[in-house]
Amino acid sequence: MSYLSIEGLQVGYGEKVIVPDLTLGIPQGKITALIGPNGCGKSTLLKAMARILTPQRGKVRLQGEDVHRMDSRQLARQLALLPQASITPDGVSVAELVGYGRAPWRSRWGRLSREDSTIVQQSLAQVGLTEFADQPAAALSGGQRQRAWIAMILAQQTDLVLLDEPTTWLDIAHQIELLKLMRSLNLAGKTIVVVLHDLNQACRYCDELVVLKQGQLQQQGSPAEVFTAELVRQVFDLDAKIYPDPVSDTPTLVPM
Amino acid sequence: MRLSQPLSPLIVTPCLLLVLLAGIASAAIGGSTFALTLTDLFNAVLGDAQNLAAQLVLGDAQNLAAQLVLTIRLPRVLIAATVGAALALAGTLMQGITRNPLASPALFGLNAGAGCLLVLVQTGLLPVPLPLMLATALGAALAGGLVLMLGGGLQGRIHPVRVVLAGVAVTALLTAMTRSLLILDEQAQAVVDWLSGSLVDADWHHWQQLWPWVLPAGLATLWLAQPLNLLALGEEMAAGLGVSPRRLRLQASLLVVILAATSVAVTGPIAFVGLLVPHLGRALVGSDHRVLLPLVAVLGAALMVWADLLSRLLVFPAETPVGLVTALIGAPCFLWLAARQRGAS
Repeated sequence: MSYLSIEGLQVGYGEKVIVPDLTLGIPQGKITALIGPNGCGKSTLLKAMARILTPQRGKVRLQGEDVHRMDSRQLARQLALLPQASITPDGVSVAELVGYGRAPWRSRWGRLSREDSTIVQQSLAQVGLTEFADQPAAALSGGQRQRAWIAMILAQQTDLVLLDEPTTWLDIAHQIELLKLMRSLNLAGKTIVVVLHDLNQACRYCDELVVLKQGQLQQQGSPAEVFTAELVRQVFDLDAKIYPDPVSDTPTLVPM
Repeated sequence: MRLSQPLSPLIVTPCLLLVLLAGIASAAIGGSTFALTLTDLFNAVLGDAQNLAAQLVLGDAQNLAAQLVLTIRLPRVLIAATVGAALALAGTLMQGITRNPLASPALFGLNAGAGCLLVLVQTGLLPVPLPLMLATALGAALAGGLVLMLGGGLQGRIHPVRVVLAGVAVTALLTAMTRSLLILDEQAQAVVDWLSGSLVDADWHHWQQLWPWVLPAGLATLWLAQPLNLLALGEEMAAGLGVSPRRLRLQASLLVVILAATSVAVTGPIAFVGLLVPHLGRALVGSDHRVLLPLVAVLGAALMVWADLLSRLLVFPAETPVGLVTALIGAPCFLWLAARQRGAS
């Protein structure tokens, strides 16, 4: 059985079914990218994995346990989510924001122990925001803010991290910075599932691609195995040539 | 919209408590046709109260001043403070769960709903003998539920503009209904005073109805403080951190109905406290609900106590309904806050 397995999943919003019947497994210890054209259900699938959306049919199992039946706080110690739309509240410092990541581990009142504060400091150091700890989170730039959210998720100390289009709204330098940070988290032992729009970035920075179209699984495997001109034409309706990336030798798409 | 640096709650809270205490003392003795002094207050409260109580039971009116303070003023001031705290807490919870800066018992139809059902019961048009407290609670809950439903709550997403529009519309409709009922039934004229928010008739009996609800509900709000902080990060983020947004909203809504409905039942709808005090609180100490909730309770209590005193002094010796005074204080304050927010952004 896979680390995270999707079994006969049907999920959508209200009457509208986005993913009709999906079965796949996510391997442990790797970075898996969910890719596909707009509306293919990749974000919906991620939300179902993170128990934000309740399946209409089927199950999501994390190491054999049904995530939609687990206690939400218990699950939050195993699975962290960085959603697309998060709100940076006013009047909260960066350190306080990162401290919220300790919430699943602490009492309802959320008082942080000395150990928690150490974890917050380490998380801030890991994303390079130590010097911003006491600044208001709302005053950070876009790239810094995204790093602060990542630090919060680090403080949550989960084995599985789900990222919903983490590079949106970032300029190219900050995108790459974030993807590299993602890899370093993975090397520290975390399993990562990420929704990405940029196919070349997905090929370069991820170990496994899950290619979706209209809620159906098209292909799954390493970028070198599955990312072909044929797949791009079939899934994205785009004529393109695939070349090896001159730096990393991973497949790169060039549109015709 | 906030001060550049939130003040330390360790400084703000004692200051506000002082303001509240001074307000309680002034309101207990001030604005009266009898000349009361602080000594009378001390005698009444700290002196031989038991002795006095015995005198009261026996109908012995030896110490008129102390008797006045004990039987009329003290319950009134305590009720004012409790209602102020309850409304402020209700407003803070509502703003927390809807993430809407305009959310408040008055604007989301709770007050109008409570008033309408109360008039329905009082005029006998609704042939169910509901107790006062239950009628207002039911009215508040129904109206609030209707506003949330029209605001898109059924689809799981509360639309920030639609919900305010729904609140305004439902309030207007219910107020119109209440007014027509009052015109149709002249028996209900006694309710008119109540409808503008009044503390005139407040006595120990009302206090007995009020505190057993407001105290536990007020303390229970603290249990939701940290989950509310997490909800402020967005629904999905909160869910990712183990807080179920739906369950949190349900728990908070229940507390809001208890806090707002019991207050409305005793004093009638009081405007602006629930809307304004949360904003003032956030401007003072920031938006951490663990600090904010206790603070707004004190701030709301202090505001109401002073408003009550003012309501008695404004056209002395006649009384202005306290609801009008809070609106008179609240509206300019709110305009000031709104203008400051624009300046900041």
